Amino acid sequence: VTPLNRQIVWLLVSATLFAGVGFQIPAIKQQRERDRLVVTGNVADNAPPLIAFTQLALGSFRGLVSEVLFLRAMRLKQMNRVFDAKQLSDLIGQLNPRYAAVWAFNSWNMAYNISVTMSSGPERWRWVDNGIRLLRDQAIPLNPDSTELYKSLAWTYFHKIGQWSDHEHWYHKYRLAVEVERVIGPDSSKETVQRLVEAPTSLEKFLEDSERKEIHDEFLERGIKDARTYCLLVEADYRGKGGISPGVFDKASPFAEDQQTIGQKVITPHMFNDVQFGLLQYEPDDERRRLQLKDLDSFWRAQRLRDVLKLDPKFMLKLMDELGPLDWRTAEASAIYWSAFGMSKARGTLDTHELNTDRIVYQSITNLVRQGKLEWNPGSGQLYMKPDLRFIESLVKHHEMLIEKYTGEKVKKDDPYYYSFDRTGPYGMGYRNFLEEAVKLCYQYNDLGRANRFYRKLRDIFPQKRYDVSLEKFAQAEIKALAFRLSQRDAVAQILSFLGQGWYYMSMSDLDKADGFRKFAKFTYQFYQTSTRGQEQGDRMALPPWEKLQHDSLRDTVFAWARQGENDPKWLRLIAVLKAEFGDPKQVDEIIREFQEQTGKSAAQKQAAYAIPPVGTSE
Amino acid sequence: MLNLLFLVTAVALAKRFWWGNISGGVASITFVVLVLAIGSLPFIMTGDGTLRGRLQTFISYSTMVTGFLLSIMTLILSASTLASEIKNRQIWSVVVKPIPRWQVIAGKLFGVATLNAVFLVVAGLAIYLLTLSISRGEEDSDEDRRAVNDRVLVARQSILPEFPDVDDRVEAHMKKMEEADELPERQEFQDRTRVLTKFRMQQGQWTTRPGGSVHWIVGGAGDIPKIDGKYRFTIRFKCVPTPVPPSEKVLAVWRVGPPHQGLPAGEFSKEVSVNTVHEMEIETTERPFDDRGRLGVNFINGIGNGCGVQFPLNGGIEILYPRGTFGGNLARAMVQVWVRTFLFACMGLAAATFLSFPVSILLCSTVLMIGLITPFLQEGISIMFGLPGAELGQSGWQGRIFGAILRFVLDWLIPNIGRHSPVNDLIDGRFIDWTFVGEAIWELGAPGALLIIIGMVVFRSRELARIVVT
Repeated sequence: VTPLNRQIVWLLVSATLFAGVGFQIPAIKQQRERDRLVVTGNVADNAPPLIAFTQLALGSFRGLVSEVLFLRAMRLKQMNRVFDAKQLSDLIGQLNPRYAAVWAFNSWNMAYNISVTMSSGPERWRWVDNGIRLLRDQAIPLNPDSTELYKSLAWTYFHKIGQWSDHEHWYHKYRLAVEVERVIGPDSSKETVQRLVEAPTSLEKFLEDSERKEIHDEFLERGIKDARTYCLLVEADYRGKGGISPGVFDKASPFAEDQQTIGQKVITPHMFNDVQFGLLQYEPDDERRRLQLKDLDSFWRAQRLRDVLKLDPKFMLKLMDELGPLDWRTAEASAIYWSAFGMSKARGTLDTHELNTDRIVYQSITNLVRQGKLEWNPGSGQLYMKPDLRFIESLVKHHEMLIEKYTGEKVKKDDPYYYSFDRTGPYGMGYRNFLEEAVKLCYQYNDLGRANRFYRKLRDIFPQKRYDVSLEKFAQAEIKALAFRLSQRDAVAQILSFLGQGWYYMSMSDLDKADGFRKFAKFTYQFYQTSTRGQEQGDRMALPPWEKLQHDSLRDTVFAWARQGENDPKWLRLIAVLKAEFGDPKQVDEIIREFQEQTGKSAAQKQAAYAIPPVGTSE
Repeated sequence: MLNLLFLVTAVALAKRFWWGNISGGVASITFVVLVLAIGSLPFIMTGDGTLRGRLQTFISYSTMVTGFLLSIMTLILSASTLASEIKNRQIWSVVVKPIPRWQVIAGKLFGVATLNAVFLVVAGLAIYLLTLSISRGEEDSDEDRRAVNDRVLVARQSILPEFPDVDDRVEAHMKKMEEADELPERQEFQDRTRVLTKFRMQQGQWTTRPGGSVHWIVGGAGDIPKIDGKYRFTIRFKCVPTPVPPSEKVLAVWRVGPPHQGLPAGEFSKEVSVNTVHEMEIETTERPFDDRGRLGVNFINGIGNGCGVQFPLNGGIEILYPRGTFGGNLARAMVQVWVRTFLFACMGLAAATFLSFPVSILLCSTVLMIGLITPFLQEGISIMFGLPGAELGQSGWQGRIFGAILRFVLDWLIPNIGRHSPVNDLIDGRFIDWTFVGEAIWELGAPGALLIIIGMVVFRSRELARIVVT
């Protein structure tokens, strides 16, 4: 055999083998797709240039590189070296851009595992924020239909920030509120969000209007060139004035000093000059200027909302229409947004990720009812998460929707047996438990009208012997039982509600009843503080000092009444009784002074400080 | 005279090598890639969001990229220069001259080594200047700035406390076990029991109950410098609590001073998260060590912590004090990288004396890749085959023999390149001691020298041309 013939034979053998392999490829490809071993679509489609380049340049070797980077990340973590963790998470994600589990794992690793190795709140927050940004800013834009990513992001908001497991959870709550308030401003009411929805989505559209162009050019000329600088200017303006609302920029915030050291940049009034601050000012009767400023403010804030927080104002408004006045500074609002947004992208297969995402929507609304009001009391500097009863109706509707969705039947209002465990399973039980809780909460907060309404509903659809008593007896029995299994937030809610009712009866000169509620509040406080929770878990789960709780409750009650008018009889009676009966004029005078200071602000600021719930969500 | 002649020959051959390769492409391409890579890293690397993180990420990646690129370049150049000359018969024009063949190899080695040295000087300067430039950037907080100055842009000497001497107690314990007939029969298990007992007793000495304390004496502290009237050093520590407190934090109270003199030259406290490494800066006007240069360190575990605290024997506590500058540290790190490239130059040249270019480059690059991940492979093989010392894993006797052979190859025939990486010390601001550099020279340079001698012997007896009579 000549060398040439030998070569031809080998060539033929090679060609035959290649052809044989080629015929197998479609079957292998099908099997890979069937076993979900491949991502659908081209990984480089619509990807940013860096990712597209990585995909094309490394080809199949990106798997190997990704493994090496993973090993490096794990090794560095074992050595307590986390300086590189964010960078490595970014790189690993960019090498596997369509692999949702990779993004979710790295985000969780940063937000949970790495953050708790840090000692201080700001250090921990950096890693929680890194975890959030990885999903929100990188993973989700690349995988907009991945429910797993929405679930992971929503869970980080809901659990890591919104719940109590992290020792620095208060700091996380505070920082999230700061981030959101920096973008939306101190007032995140529905009207504000509506304005953001109506704002043009591009600079070209915004400048089509000559009025808008004029003010935009004026800002531009004075060095305020973009949305970011504008928001910094407004924040610096707040600081220069010492804060305007009980919001996060208030000087009385327990983290106020920390504001000077957190973040990429320390924001101080010195960053801008008087001419620039002057841009925000206008004469009270200059309506044209006011509207111009309002338009520019909405345009730039909407832009920041989309670019920084990645929130769509239209979807925010939709959620507010459905659920109520969401306070976008709370972790629950963000959790609801991302889980609901994720569910809007879901394919309806109700797989594990979809179910868990849907659960976060439900759990977050429940949390809003239990602790949806984020407040720090300027009087005492104490941070609170207080129950927000405005969301009870939304949660009732949500329960009914869930029953319909997961049991496959329409809710039957006239058929009590529809809610039996056989037919509605745990969903019906959950609904019943929530209605009981709603009755108790409304009763505790002296919202007797709604308490009665929910109690009637409870009796109608879950007919049971123990509901055959009056509302008062039912509620009091439940409250006593509850005292034995209180969580921190429940304890605060209960104590504040008892104290609130105490002030109410005091204003009605029913001092016996008032004293009874105050004693009950004190009993609950002492019971909790001496319980296992209050004792063993240190400051994390302990209640604020009794005097502060009492003071804040009094202040809140007075302010709530004062919203109805400064000469409200209840408010005046309370002052009279307090001064006469308790001989504590100093405390009362202090609250009066504080109230007068707050009401002395401009009307707009007052509106922001004491936002009235939208119609239909409060009684 | 002979030395001078050798030097002249080596320089002449190195010069020939230099011109051949600089104009040839590999070296110039590597140079361009190296400069571009280091120059672009500050813009790509963001770290963890802090200035310290950015700096550490830059230093880490730029040093790694430099080492990796130069290693690859060295392998290609050293393997190709000889192999291609043999293949293209250019070697004939050299070997016909009155130069011993070993000098041909030595000249090429000299050429590669000097080329690497020049590249490392350029890379080192670039890394140094860019590090300084990044460090002038905006810090996240005052704490961040302090961390940059005191923990990264510095060279700190590390000193460790001695392990407690518990040998007598261990022997007493073993004797007691023997008398109680509790000692295992097999010697192997007896040895293991002794080791575990010693570990437990030593660890016990570094453990404290709530309200108790741990005391260490750290030798070699006499060089702790006095800066602006204050002795400055750092305690690097890791607290492992039992049980873990709900806050996952403990209040660490430290007292320092000369041992056996009642302490303290100073007392410092800080609330720290558990199970992670922390650094506490100590500044005191009182001299904290005695005349023998011994520093006393005392940890007080307040009752308020509500948990026992343990300091792991490995990495539980360390004392660091300023000894040199970042620039000096970086220079020593570059020497370490150079030693590594020297090994690859020797390896590539030795392989090319008897293998063709593709085969020698395949062999050398395989060794490079395995050498970079040797510790990981050693651990993996030990676990997979259940070798002695591995905490996990088991296999039959055949597996153990196979695993032992693999471990032997890894331990003795593949250089552990990863162990001699200066990156971790650089980013932690630890002083890279000349003894550490010396170790690298011994463990990487000596095998390299051996390889090149073998290569010279092989090349000397290699038939480069044959007279064929037809």
